[in-house]
Amino acid sequence: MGAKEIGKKRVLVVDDDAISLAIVEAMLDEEYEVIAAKSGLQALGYLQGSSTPDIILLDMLMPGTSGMEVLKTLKSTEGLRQIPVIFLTSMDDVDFKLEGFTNGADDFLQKPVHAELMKLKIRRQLYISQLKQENQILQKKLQVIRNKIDQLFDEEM
Amino acid sequence: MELDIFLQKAGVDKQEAAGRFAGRIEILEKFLLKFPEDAAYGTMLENAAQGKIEETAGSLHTLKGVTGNLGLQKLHQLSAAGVQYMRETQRMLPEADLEQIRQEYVRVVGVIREYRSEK
Repeated sequence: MGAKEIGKKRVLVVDDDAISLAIVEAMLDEEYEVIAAKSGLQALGYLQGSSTPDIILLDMLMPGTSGMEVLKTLKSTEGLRQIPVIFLTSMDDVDFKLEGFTNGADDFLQKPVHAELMKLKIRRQLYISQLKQENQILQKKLQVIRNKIDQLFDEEM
Repeated sequence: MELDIFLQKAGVDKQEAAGRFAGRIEILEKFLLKFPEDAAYGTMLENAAQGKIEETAGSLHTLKGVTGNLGLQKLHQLSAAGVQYMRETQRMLPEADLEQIRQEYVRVVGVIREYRSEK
């Protein structure tokens, strides 16, 4: 967990299974800066630090703090709730997916992971995230313009 | 032993794995060689020996995940069936099923060690 590599988006991968974690890391490390966390608790500890990831790949079933608990904490924390979360799951269970989406998950990825599908889903979520940020900036600019127009009208009156 | 033969003996579908790893079979090979040191199987056996149902299901789930990622098809299928049984019945895995997993694990690890010793 080091300083951000220049120009690379940062992906936090959370999985208690060391080999699966290392495989995902190996699949992504050419394109992204990958931060690996072996438990939900470790992930939450990292997220409380100064650097935030651009996206999180989160295993659903982990001993101790589950993926769902990590998700709920993230989505209720100012400054973290905007980070897109893709759940990693080996369970094709609709109830789990419903719970995940209800709690703010952005997408799901079936385990064992398919490298190209994972990269596509990451790119899509990063793109959506970028659009949301741009939209926020535009909304702020629009508000400034509205305020100026209101001010001009007030002066005219 | 050639890589193709090694994968075949270990029970890996090379074509499926190549697709999943975007052609980077070297990643699969690297992590297959580490499989004997992975803790999931040993933890599962320990939990089963102590009669801990939930913990056994959890570590078997991890073994299922590892073997799925590594494309170890038979071991993955046996683990998946074991997890499903335990989740549905809330009971310990029957000894016969555990023995099947044990035999396949020992076989796969034997193949990996043989390949590793030749490298």
